[in-house]
Amino acid sequence: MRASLLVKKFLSALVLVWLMLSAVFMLSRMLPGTFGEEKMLQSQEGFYSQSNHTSRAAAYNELLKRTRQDLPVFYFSLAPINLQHNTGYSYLVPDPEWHGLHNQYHFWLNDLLQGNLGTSFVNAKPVTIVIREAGTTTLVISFVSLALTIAIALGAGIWMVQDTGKKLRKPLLATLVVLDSMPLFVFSLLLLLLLANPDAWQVFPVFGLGISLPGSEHIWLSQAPYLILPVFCLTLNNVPYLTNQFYNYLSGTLQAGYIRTARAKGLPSGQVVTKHALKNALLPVITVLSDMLPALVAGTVVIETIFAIPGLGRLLVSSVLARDFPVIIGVMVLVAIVKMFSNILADIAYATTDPRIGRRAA
Amino acid sequence: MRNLSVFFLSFVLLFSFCSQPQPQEQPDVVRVRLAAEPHTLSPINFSDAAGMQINNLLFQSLLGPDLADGQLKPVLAKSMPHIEQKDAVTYITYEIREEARWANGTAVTSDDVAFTLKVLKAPLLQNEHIKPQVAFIRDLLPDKANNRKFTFVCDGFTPEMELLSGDFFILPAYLYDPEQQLKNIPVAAFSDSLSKLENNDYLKAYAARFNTPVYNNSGKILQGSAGYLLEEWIPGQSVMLRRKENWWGNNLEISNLTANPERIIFHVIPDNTTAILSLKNQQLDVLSDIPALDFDELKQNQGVLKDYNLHTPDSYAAIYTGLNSRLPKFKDKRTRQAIAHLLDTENIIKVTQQSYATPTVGIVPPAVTEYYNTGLKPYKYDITKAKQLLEQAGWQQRSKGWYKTIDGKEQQLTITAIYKAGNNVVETTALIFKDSAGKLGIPVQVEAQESGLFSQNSRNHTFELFFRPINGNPFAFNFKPILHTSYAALGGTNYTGFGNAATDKLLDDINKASDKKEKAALLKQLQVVMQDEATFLTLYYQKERIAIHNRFQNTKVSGLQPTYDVSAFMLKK
Amino acid sequence: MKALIRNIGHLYKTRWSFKLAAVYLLLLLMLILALPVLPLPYLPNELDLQHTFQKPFINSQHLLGTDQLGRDVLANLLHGARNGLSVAIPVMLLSAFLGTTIGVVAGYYGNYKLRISYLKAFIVSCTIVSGLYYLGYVPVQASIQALPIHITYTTIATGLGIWFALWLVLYPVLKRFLPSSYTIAIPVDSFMLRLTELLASLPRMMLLIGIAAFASPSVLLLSVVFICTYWTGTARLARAEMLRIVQLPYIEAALSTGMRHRHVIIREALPNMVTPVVVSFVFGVASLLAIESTLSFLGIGFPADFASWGRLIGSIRQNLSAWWLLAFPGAFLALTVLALQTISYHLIRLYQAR
Repeated sequence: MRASLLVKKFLSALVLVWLMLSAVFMLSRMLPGTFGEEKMLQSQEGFYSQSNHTSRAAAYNELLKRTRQDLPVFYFSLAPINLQHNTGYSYLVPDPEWHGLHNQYHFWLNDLLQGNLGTSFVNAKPVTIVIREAGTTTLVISFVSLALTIAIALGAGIWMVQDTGKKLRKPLLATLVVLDSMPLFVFSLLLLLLLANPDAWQVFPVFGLGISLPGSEHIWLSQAPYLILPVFCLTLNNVPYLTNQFYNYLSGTLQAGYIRTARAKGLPSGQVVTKHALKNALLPVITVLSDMLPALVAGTVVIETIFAIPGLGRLLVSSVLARDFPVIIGVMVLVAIVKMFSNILADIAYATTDPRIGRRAA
Repeated sequence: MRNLSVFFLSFVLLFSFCSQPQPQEQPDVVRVRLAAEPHTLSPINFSDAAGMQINNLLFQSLLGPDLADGQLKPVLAKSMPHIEQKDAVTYITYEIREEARWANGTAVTSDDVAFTLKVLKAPLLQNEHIKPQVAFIRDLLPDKANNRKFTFVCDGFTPEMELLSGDFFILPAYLYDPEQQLKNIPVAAFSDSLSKLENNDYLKAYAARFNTPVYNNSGKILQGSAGYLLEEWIPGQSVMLRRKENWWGNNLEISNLTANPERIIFHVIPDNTTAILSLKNQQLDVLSDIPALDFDELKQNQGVLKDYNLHTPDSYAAIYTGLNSRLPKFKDKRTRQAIAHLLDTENIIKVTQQSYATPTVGIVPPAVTEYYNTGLKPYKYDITKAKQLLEQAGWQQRSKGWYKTIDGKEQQLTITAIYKAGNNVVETTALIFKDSAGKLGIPVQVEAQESGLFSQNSRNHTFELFFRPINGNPFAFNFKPILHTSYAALGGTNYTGFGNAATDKLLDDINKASDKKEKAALLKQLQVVMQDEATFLTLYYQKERIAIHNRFQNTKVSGLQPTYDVSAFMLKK
Repeated sequence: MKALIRNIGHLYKTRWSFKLAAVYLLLLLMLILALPVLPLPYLPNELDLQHTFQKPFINSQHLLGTDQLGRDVLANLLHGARNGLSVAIPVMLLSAFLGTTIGVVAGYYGNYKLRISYLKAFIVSCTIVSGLYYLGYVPVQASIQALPIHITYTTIATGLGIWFALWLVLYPVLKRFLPSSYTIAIPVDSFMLRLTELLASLPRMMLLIGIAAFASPSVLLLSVVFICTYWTGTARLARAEMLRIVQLPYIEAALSTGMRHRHVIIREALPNMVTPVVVSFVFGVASLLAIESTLSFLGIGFPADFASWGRLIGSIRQNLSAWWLLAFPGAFLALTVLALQTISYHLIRLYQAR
């Protein structure tokens, strides 16, 4: 693959990431309310007032100023339609206002280009640390489950196209279709009720990440049993789709001419599959995988809610609710980067195995 | 398929290798469950219950409630303050206990209080959550002769000033400002226009130092005069506190200055089911806020009863219904009374609280017996009564609902009930109300609103009926902000539009009342008026549901947050 | 179209799984349509506080049990089916229409074939900009700030007036003075590809969470979000199909004889596209049903009195031993999704075999 093509791909992916993040930035600022507004402006209702509204509003304005939320959002904006100032029909003429470089978007983009995601409004921690704390569990869950999914799908796919698996192919495919029809949350709840319920079989610890005792060194080891069920659910949720795809591509390539030649040469069918067909069938699967990534992240929202695991999905939900903008954007940056890399990887993989693509696109 | 079973097997193997660690019983360690991790432990910027509870073990305020009897008592102060009113200014004089010591052994002085005030009031610092609370304190006058004595100079006078002036944590100046960057700025400067200070280089330098994670989560900085030190905070998992060696308060033997357990561990367990399982496995000593259904189940569980005491103290948390009395259709109080009769409080308590709540006639908690008006009866769910009242108010029943001509226009009686999204209790309450109003032919639409939108609608009076929680306490009864007409304008906190000249006077008199008897008479009268007006309908006061391991005594279980005083826990002999 | 019906008839006769799925779906549809006349003892939101968490098959009034508020599971099941389908089907119809249109246009014109004159491009961009302001920004602002309704009407009227002036006055006048031979190509294809990529990389669940955080729960709003994100699937299929069709010899021949674009698309290409669009429609309905119940399970986006399978399943979290709250709606949901997937699976096979 030519370097220029790679650069081109990379640049277009970068533009896409920039567009997506800008969209998220704008969307998040369009949410009514800002961080702290609810807690600060709305007094806790009680039997006495802890402070008056003026001093709360003053403190709130200082908060906005400190976190730069008092600046205009973008380089320009349309003046709001204001009936008091507008006499007659002045709203019929657009009234754009220019804010210059002193705006939230500019500062954010500047920081981002320097690799700075800012600090969380909630606890002054750098966003990277906040995401790392929440993201480790999520990443472990999703990557372990992704690895398992791929392994199982490949294994099942290869097994099914071979002569040994012919007999069980139909029932297996049917089972996969049935599995696929069960939404993730129904499936997870079902397993939870069956396998982690004191009233049924308590094979697994219930939910959450358990209590880690202070000072115990093997926090990871003690948490592992809590992660089995979530990983299992996520895996089983993705296996049917991927297996089906893989099986289709594999059986498609086996029909191709060169495979027939290989067979005619007398190669054993196992070798034909692993040596020749697999390489070509893997290609489309890479694309499917890179498409699956955002869905995987979304899937963890469901899993984290049901199994009460503190992770990225729940972090996102809570930061949207708290209007903790730096964290919202930070999570999206992570998703975008993962997506971008998987796209580029898919492209590279395609181009290296199939030289025709590189030539055609160039 | 073969692969699948292999993987499943390896799961099971993995699981069996790392079976759950069984904690050894450590008698003088208290393990407490936190439902949510504190956002920050900064004593001047915490914003949640967990932050408050932990800060109370690290830092001390001048005054504080004693959970044993629900009274406000001196903590860091030697005695209750001396209050003097002169013209529009109030002088509140405190003296700090002479025994009080910081973690490094130096004495707590009025300089520390002055420093704390500066940090609380300064611009640029992360202090916005607590800053408004001390806005009324203009200046601090140190006593020339006694470096532990000082006077707050406050604007105006309200009855809760005494409480508020002693309600913030005092910080050690030596630790928080080692370079003395704030030393030379007078306290009063922070009360004037702040724009000058924003460009003060010392303050800017201090802000750069202060607004860092260290001041929010590190045990090196979070050291106060209370009996505990922050040992470790593992994000998302636990917060550990250790008792100070030879803490000054323990030598005084004052019942509300305690640091008994050697270690306190707060476990962050967001999920209720996990928390209850941990309790059953004896991995927790204190579990509060237990859901009613689970609490009932725990009460039947012999294993739990053997080791735990279950408590249900009366809390000061209530749910109330607010009607927007400004709306033409709710203007007639008989209409509002009819709606009050449609609130099936008995069933609401049964379904949402599993009967762990007390119906109330008004805003004063039934637990505060001296002020509660026992002569009144709470509104009863009564469709016929509601029907009569509606007819009296001029509504006519037709096949499709109730109609009335208001301001020349015929209007149907419909109600949109709103509540804050995500709150299961109010959601169920709203659904039950919808059901019972539907039986009388009043269509009710329930709407969960995201919190920002909900408070905006309340402030702007763009609502018809809402359900809201309210939190009270036993030591202050100033209802002016929620019931006085001077707060009823747009943006004010009197959302329902309750009140008239007579009730305003009543509220003022309650604040002025000097002796308890007079206050009781006035508060009882307020309950009568509020019930009759039926704009602000308090449904019930909840009971807390707590389980505490029975190896401890002196747990000070109370309806006040955090409902127990973990620093007072003592092992039974 | 005729071929599709004939094919379905053939499938129905030869494939038992297809037959089963079709019969199940038809029965479900009939049950839903007959819902208003069915003698159900309870409405889905009717509370029965004396009978909370009733077990199924014990009480003849609550045949399938009740939830924490005594709401009848059977009534919620049937009404949940109706609500779910009445969201999923219209949404999928609209997004299939949107997707097909965009996909067909992108696939047919590619990046170079759609050429318009500079003048027309100018007028079109004026139309878009003025539309955004007069038909987008001002009406939205007016409704958010609850401004008097006449403002909305006058701006919309002004916007339409401007469009009118642009196309019926300015365009013909300028056309006389400017030669229309200078043309630019509109890269419809890459535009569509980028847009789908952008939408695909934004996790839908996150978008929904974000939107649910600021707007009050409403079925309409969610439907709009679904339409805006679901068209991409159909569009991709339609584009791929169009690319294939355009290369067919007889279309090339038709084009070279001077047939009009519109004619080629409607007469020749669209009939070929019915099967993939139907497949993506059925698939979309299944996935919408699943997502709809996931959302109401999580309590995101749907109003509290919107009866749905997800809401029913969600109430199990308050009492883990109430298995019937998961079993019945879960089975119903899985069966419906399975039936829809079976049908689309068979249609795909049929289509690929061709």
